[in-house]
Amino acid sequence: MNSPESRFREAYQILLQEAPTPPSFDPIVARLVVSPKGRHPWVRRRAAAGALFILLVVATMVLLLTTTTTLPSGAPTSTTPSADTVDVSVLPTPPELWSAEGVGITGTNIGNLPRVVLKEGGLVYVAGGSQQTVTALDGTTGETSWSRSIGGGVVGLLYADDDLVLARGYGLVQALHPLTGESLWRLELGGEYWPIEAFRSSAGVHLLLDRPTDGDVEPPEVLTVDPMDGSELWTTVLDGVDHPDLDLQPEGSALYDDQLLVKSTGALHALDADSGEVNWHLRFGAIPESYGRAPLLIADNLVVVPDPNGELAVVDLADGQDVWRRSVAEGKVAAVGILGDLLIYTDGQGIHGAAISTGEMRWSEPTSRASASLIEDLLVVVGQGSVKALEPSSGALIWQIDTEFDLALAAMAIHPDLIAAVAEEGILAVTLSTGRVEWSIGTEEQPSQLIGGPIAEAPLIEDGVLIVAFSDGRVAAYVGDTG
Amino acid sequence: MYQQVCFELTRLATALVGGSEAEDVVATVVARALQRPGGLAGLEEPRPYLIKAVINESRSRFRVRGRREGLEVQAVFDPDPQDHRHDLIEAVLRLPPRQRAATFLVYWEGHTAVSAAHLMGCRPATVRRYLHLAHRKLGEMLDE
Repeated sequence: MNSPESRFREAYQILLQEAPTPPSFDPIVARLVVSPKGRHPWVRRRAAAGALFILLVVATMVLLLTTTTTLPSGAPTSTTPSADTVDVSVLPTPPELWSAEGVGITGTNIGNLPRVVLKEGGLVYVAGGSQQTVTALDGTTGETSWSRSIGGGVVGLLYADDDLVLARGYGLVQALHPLTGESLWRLELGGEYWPIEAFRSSAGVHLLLDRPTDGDVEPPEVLTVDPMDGSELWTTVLDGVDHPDLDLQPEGSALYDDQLLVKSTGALHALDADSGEVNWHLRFGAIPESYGRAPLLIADNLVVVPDPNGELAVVDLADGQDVWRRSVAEGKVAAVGILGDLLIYTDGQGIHGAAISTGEMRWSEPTSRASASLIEDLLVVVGQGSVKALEPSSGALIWQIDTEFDLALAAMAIHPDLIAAVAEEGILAVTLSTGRVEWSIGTEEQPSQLIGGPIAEAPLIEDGVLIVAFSDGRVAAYVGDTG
Repeated sequence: MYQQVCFELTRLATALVGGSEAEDVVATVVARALQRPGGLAGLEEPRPYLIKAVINESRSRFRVRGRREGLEVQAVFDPDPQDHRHDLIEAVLRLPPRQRAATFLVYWEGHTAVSAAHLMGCRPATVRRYLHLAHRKLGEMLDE
């Protein structure tokens, strides 16, 4: 019998055969123009902008004529103002090593974009797509080494190392041999289990699972299995926290010193990786309004816990006691890094430096929707429409590039003096020491049936080579260091 | 910005109200968004806003038509009595719009419960509850 998931997919495949072409934008605007309430404000603004543009053109022409007649002979008649925004169309594209088309992708199933997750033994693993496959590409040629159908609507890889690749589907975990794709073992958890993350410790493979629900919210559980055969070693249900919302947060958990830190929207649990015993838990407050990814940051026996709902906590790793916590602006809350006594974090309003021991604010820089990284001795911030390098201890601006990129993904090092500023619209390579833009990727792609820009996620960078997953299903490798 | 979301909105609208009305649903919600101060550009998160708007507009039309009536299977699928897919399509079309939206976003578009919840403006547990209810109703309607 088909699973419920596959039956829904079959039904939607049939329904979407009748999907119309999306309505054009101009007729929608035209509706507003002829609406009985009169011209829509957006239309009025557009008309006003047009009138203003004509006025500016006329004024400029008059000014130019006047200036030309009054300047002394031999002086420049006019100067073109330097463009503040990087023109990506004139930038070179880095040399392409290889490209693989349509890896794991069919049709318009945009949610199942390819995910490049790890490179081990010279292979690049890509998962996703309605073909429900995991594919291993040769890292030097891009040729398919193996491809394995998993079923169950693969949405990503859970884990990969030298001797184990774990794929997840709806209600299942599939273990594969990393070099051959051979099935090692398979766990059928049930269609309503959601494998969120996996970690491997000396104790086994820890699978973080959201549990089935029957009207009530069920707390998540950690299932630890033997990596050799998938047999159960221990299971811990993360109950005991009186909170109405305990969904696991993707990329929110961590394994550190044989302690498993599992983050849900309502609490952070610290588990002994060997036994599954809960050492401590930290409860969060309100029911979250947003569910962004916000990884933990662990250093010097402290855990920095960013919560997209608008709170940042620093707790003692040993006992979970608060060192300090504060409300932050909701949005892209992330702990960027720790530099000496300085914690650098982002929230919905910008990027900030605070004393990690006390929480005292040292500096703030407004940058909305930012992704930031400490690279060498600078703080690189990719935000809405700009790339900035800041001096981390003071937040002082070193250089800034204005771009047309809006959807920031990451700032990454290609080599010590070359960084990749990654947004969904494209990738810019910038020399870190000078702020000079060297090349760009993916900026000529036009929005199609895919949401967002052409870049699906932050690339994998290894030995100066960038492996990029595009939203149309293509995966390509580029030589990042073109100097 | 519209070009980036129009295909996703149209697919969702087709799953919720059928192909014949999908275009009008999308045009209606986009026109409403344009009437807001700042238009589409003024929205903090335009994509979730528009997806929620498509779901709400579809719910409104669903209520008008009557829950029992649902969508006409014939409108989207040539019915062959021998074809098992006829019953499947009919059962899916009779699901309430939010349950159908959850199954569409998760099982077709490939979202996790967390990202689908973000788009639908509810909690992940609510999405999983919608999926649970949709599974149960689909099973009941198909007499399993």
